[in-house]
Amino acid sequence: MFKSKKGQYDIARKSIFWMIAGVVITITVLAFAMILSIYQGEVSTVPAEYEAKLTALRFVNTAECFTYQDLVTGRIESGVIDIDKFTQERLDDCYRSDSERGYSSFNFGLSLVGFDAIDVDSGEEKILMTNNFFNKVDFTLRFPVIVRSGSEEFSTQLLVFVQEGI
Amino acid sequence: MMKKIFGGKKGVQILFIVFELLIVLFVIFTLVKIAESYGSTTGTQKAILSKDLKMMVDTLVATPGDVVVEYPGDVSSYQFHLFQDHILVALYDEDKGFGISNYFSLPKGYKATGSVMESEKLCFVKQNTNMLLSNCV
Repeated sequence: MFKSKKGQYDIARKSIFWMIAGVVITITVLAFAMILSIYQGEVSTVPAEYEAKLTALRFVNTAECFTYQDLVTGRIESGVIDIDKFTQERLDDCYRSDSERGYSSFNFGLSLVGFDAIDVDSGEEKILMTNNFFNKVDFTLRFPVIVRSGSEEFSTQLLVFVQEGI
Repeated sequence: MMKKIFGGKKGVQILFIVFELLIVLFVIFTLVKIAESYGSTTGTQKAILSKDLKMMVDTLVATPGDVVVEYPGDVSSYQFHLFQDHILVALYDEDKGFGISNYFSLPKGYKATGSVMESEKLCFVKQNTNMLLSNCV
């Protein structure tokens, strides 16, 4: 079929060209898809601070978390933290990111200024942490709160250390 | 005749040109298809809807008392399924596998359930610790 040397050379040249072109075309198509995918992600992105704040609002507004609830009337007092509820067990029940993919979602460390428990070994204040919080603090949210301890009330701040996905 | 065309050196060249044209057409077709799939608003819209509804769940969890919230906008082109740990949004005639999910965490004792399909309006109802996704009445 290809009797002359030039014919054979042409075939070899074209084959090499298409081998390289195949790789380049594949990379181009994948890059194009990736660029569009990133663009789509950017279009639908919500600022992390906003989303984290919506999630973290439960810590100061929800009776199933730390918010004080009057036992007689059942009224939930938003922004009032019941110091007896401010425990690690309570936080585990309040917010628990998925054990497998939870590291990629929001995780929180909570510090109630002036009311944190003291670590027996180090003597430092202990913060409450959600199950996938690894001390990688991306930003901090501050909620002015009232702490209710028995019949006494104190004004302070709840610091919420937010860890975005790792 | 065919042998005459494709048998010689010129025939091989024609074959290569046809092959190259086919490759170019294939690449153009693939790129247009990819662009079309991303360019259609449905994919982005599904992502936005599922994110919106996930944030709505978080907001309702942080809202004391019973609440009914209507999602602003016509959602008749989509189907929605609320599960205990995520919300799934897909086109109304689409398999759920092509839907977009957004995950959330509910406090212990909370229950989330409900589906909405082919309805213009979508409502979130929160009663005590129960959350229901339903058509608006």
